[in-house]
Amino acid sequence: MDRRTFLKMTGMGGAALAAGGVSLGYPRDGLAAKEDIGEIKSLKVTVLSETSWFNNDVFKKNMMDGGGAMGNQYETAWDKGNSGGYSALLEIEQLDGTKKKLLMDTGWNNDWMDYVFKMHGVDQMIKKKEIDTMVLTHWHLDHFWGIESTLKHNPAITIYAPSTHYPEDLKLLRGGKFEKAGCQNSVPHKGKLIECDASKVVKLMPGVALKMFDVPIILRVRGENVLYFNVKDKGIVTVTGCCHPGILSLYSFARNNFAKGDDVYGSYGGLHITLFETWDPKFDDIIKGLKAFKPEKLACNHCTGWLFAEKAAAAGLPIVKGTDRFKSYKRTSSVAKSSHAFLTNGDSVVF
Amino acid sequence: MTEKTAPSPAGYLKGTAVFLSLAALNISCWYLFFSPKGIMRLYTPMYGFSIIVVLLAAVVTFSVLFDGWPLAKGAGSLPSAGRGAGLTLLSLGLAWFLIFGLFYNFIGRFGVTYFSPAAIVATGETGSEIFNARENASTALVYLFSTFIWLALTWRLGFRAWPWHEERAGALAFSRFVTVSLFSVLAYSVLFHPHVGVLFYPPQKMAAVSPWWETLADTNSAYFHLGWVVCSVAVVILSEALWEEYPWRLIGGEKRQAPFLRGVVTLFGTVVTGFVLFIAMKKGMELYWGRPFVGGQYLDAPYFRYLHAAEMAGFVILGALIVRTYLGNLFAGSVPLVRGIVRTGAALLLGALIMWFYYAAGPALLGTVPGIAQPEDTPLCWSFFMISFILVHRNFFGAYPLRIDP
Ligand SMILES: [Fe+2]
Ligand SMILES: [Fe+2]
Repeated sequence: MDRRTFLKMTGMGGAALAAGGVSLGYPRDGLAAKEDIGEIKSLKVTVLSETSWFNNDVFKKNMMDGGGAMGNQYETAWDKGNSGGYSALLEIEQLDGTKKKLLMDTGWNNDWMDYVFKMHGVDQMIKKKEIDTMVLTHWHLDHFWGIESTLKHNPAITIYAPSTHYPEDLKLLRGGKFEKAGCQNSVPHKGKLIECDASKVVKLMPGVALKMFDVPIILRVRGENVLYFNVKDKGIVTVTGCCHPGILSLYSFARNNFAKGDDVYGSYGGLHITLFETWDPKFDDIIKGLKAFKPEKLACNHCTGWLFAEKAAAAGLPIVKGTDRFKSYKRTSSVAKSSHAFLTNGDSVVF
Repeated sequence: MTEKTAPSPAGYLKGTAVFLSLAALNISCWYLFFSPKGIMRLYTPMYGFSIIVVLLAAVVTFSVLFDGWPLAKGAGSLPSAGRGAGLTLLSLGLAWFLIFGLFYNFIGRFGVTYFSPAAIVATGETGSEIFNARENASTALVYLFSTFIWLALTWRLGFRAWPWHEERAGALAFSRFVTVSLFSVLAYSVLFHPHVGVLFYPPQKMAAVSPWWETLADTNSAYFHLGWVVCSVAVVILSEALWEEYPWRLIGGEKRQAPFLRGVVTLFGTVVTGFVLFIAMKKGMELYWGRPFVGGQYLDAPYFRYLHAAEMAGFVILGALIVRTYLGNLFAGSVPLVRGIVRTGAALLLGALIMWFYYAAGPALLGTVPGIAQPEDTPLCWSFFMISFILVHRNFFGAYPLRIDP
């Protein structure tokens, strides 16, 4: 039912509703001059691991026993045999042809992350400083607690991370152990820790910008770093860990703040929607909102949830399908369906 | 309603002290049952929220629909402490029976699946795992019983005892309860049931229409309706507690002629006023946070703006109840219009203060996550809990040790 029909039908509260339909037109974030972040030639993302845990029911039970979505991740007893991790390798080609590698996130379970890094040669890339920078998207266990797997190859690696950390986060980063939660790091970080706050956009290199969104997140985490790429002749690409701020808020930020930011090409990463295999009316809103931006390539996984990927694809959104590569890993998620709903472990995508 | 004389400065102080004690008791109970950092941790959020909404509905049933029946005041009645304890236990018992008996194990098992977590799990469908199932069943209960609370309060303000004013207390209680329940089911099925229908995969299209308000509200979420419904409840509470039932009492005059007309006008009047308030809050949020957009999340979500309108209305209700119960409605002089405006101003101020308190002290005192628009947190849960405490204190215990007219 549209507004007009509703007004006709009810004939009450009409004035208020009409006022509700009139655009007041406040262009939030849009008053300052839009920033030109430059351009890159291309971006390749390899999914090192998107299986943060292998059994959803076990993870959920741990979470509920630990105080639910608002509990503290460090005070929850996580089932050690269930943890994996989230991490991706980003290969950027600049306009002049030079290539640069970035590590995004470092997973959760160290055994799993060691295995994953070795499988893709990431351990050597860190050791040889082909990768000298890690972008930590947020301080969630499945993105950060595997920090030792990175630091053991180079404790001096530069880390960009949200400034919204808790004392426990820094303790783990600097070498520490949490018995109950079952995480530890025995290699203190010695490199630069660049703290990103919501007030400004950090430019990592031409065409690559990092923006922190200061939002509250489940398990007492706050703030998420989002990578924006401007790919020549294609448009804006967002790369996220979990995308807790919401994919449309990311697109909206680009549109309001970056030159040519309304030209969204696509996305990679978790979108934090149907991770627990539930649906909600507001997820239908997301599909509708995404369609309005007309993205050309949506490569999602992890906390996006296969349900959303399938529904979005059915609704006509360009979801990039996964392959059988995940079967070459020693362990697979109980959630991974053979339907290849989205990119999973070992898959890659080029923007 | 009788107008009382204004309390003295000492009276205000005493009222404040009593309220603060009640709030301390409330926060202790919150810690015990609901706080994510507490003992039982029921605020998941929907499971705890549903328990609180059903409890509030039970309290409203005994106080507003039943007028305290079967333990009403009067000759031969129990002393106030016994009466208060009795009504409180009856409310707790009713809430427990409604959730775990009627809905989880009867309606849910033999009628409408989504009202019972166990029945949802038993389907074996996608996502039918106990925690999701409980949250989804709880969402349905929150919606149904919010509708019930809204219609019960509105019925009482508008129709009062009509058409059973000549019946005995028990007959009046039963008739009013059944009537309000009937209209609640009707309103719920149109306003909220379509939302619950899409909480599952695949959407239950044969059982529930797709949310018909989608383009109207820019969201599929029934938070749209929850928003204006709670705003209408706020208008009802303000009329009842602070405005001495103006303007509705003008219909039919002091002799209370035309009770049916008064009821109908009150229903439509409070809904329209509530809706205008709802739109005004939506506009205010747009000035403050910018316009939301379809599919946006957190502050950018249209559904959050609607929910937040309900949340703010919840704080206003708290403010109104405090002014009425603990501050003796401030004063009794002047004309009704002036009294109403001054009291409403005080209620809004108090509401704003409590809202600030919730967001500032919530993480430490209530175990909530810092920040606004946190998806797993709605202040409505705690404010409804506090509202039930005030209603229990005022309606069941006569606001002891304060002396107020009922
Ligand atoms: Fe996350
Ligand atoms: Fe994650």
